[in-house]
Amino acid sequence: MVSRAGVAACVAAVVGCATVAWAADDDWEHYRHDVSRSGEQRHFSDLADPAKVPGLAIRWQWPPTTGEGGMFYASPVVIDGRVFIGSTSGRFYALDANTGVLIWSYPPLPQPPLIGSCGSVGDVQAFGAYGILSSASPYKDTIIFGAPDPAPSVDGGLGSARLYSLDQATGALVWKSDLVARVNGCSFGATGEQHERIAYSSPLVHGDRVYVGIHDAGDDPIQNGKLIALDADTGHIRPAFNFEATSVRGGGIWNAPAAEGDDVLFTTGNTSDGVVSEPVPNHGLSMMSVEARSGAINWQFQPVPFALDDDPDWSAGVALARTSCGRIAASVMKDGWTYALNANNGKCRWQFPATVPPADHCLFPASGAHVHGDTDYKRPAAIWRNTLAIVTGGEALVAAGSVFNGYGRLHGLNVCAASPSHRVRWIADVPHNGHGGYSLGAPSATHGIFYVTTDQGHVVAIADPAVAPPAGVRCSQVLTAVANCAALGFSLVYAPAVLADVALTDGADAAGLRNEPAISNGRLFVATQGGHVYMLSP
Amino acid sequence: MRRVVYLGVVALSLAACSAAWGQDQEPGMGELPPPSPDLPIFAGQPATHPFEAMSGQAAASRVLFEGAGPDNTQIVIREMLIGPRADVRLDALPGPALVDLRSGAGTLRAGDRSEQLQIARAISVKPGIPIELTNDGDDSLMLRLYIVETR
Repeated sequence: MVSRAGVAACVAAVVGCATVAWAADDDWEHYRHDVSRSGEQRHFSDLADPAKVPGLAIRWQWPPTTGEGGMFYASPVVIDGRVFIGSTSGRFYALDANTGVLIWSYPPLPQPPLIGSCGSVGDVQAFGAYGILSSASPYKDTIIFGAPDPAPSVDGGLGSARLYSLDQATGALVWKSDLVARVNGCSFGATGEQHERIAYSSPLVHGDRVYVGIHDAGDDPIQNGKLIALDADTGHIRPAFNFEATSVRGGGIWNAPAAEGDDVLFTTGNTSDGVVSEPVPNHGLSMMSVEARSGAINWQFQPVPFALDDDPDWSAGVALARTSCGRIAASVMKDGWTYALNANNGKCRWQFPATVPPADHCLFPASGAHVHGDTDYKRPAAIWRNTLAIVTGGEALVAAGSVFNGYGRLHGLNVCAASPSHRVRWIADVPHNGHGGYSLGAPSATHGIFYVTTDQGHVVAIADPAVAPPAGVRCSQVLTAVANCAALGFSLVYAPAVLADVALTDGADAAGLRNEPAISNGRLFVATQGGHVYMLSP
Repeated sequence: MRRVVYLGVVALSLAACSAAWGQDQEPGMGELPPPSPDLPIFAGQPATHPFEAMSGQAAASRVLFEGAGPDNTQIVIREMLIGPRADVRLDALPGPALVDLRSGAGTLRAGDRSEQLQIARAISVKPGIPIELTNDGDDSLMLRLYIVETR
């Protein structure tokens, strides 16, 4: 006899496999590929073939000559043969993925761009003049992105922001959302003004809702972090959903929320800047899981207490993955420490580097000795099976003055390693980067090959040693020689092979805050601060 | 009849799963094998301030700072890495010092005194007494020594 539980298991298996099949679709529809923000393309293509990747080359660029006029801090999304991307110029574009030919732009000329009047045009830290800084998300036949509304009737056109929904085929406006971020003054540091932005938070489309995070601009001053939920069919705010990070200010949501099932996950920024006493509640500097319908908190993980808050905003978003050791939510804080949590309950599975004794559950003591500052680890991870690729501080992070040792490097981490000494799988020194905090974009993965863009305008392909022979061996702690490595408690790990290193023709920075390579149908799409979109393929 | 339907669902499930997960399931799941000794040592981006091995001990150190302090003193800040389960003996320090744990778990012994090292709780050590530092864990231990020498 087959039990009901057996039937349920069968149905769950079918649904689960259907989910896998959906995730294997060859489009790159969302920032980080999907709403779990995995950064992984599961569809096999030449970009996943180590023998073919060395032939990676530029096939087209748009515009063909001089740049678009603004900068691309956002990344392309690729849906049904079209590339969608917005610029700091305040315009949003649809390109033909095969040819790079412009199909439409929004707002169409001669309408003014989506630029508020607060600040200088092109200043990504402006309160209102930042244009479009985050990637778009699809809903049915529409494409949704966030930007300031320049209409004088909207808070004087200073830069209050909303979401825009356009018809994917024509670029026609479907709806403008209710206002979600208010700007009612342009004075730096003015606590009596609102300087809310949705700049770097890519909207999350999940079910019939769209979510977007609210944050500030350069902490002038910090704004109260909020997650707003809207109706994806109408753009109206869903009032039943509410999440605010604090009761006063701080805890901005700088990243793209992730989702799975009934859970929405995101990270939050600092709360101490200009705030004397700890706000109550304080959901800042945290990884959060909230209930998708109401915003009620499922769990909160806050590893750095208010007393140590020297601005280690959690700017990188959450990467969700189902690994062989469970459902994981992983991300790096700005201070360089990376965390992997049990996504079901928020319990810390590991911290990298492992600094706090296990009994303390990855939570730094309030009297802690480590620096938790604004040290630029802001890019989300890519997850390939049990391997997490991330720009992170590394094992040298606890050494004095060594916070920069993760810059320009990509770490491959074993998510399910049995002990911290096996955490590092490989470390890649990415070529052609400036070794600063903004030298690499977020990595993207496909079948063990990781693509990353650099601030020197290169696209680099790195192969996990499981799929291509490595370049060599090194110590997992980069300040330690191979000869001393094991005796000091570190591990010999691989230096993976660099399969391709392609210079983009404009030579511009391709490692903006939300830049990532989009992998779709055997083609790689990247964008630069020089105002170009490129398509590359082997 | 119901059994046939159930078995059909099971077969469909297995077939669908097989199709979705069929290709190269293994790479990326487990840990990689240890690197072969034949592999070349990767030079990479050179470390700007590397640790140097301490002769005959499972430890390495580097000087972070060395300079004149107040009242004719010399301040030396040294960072040490100690391997798992290793004991490290230091000669008697030339002046009073603070021992500050940065990561890991360990014990300090100086004369008849034995103290557990804790993050954010620096331990003071008198001069003239040899020190023994033990890494009690299976991972690397890092600590910082702040030494005040009288010149």
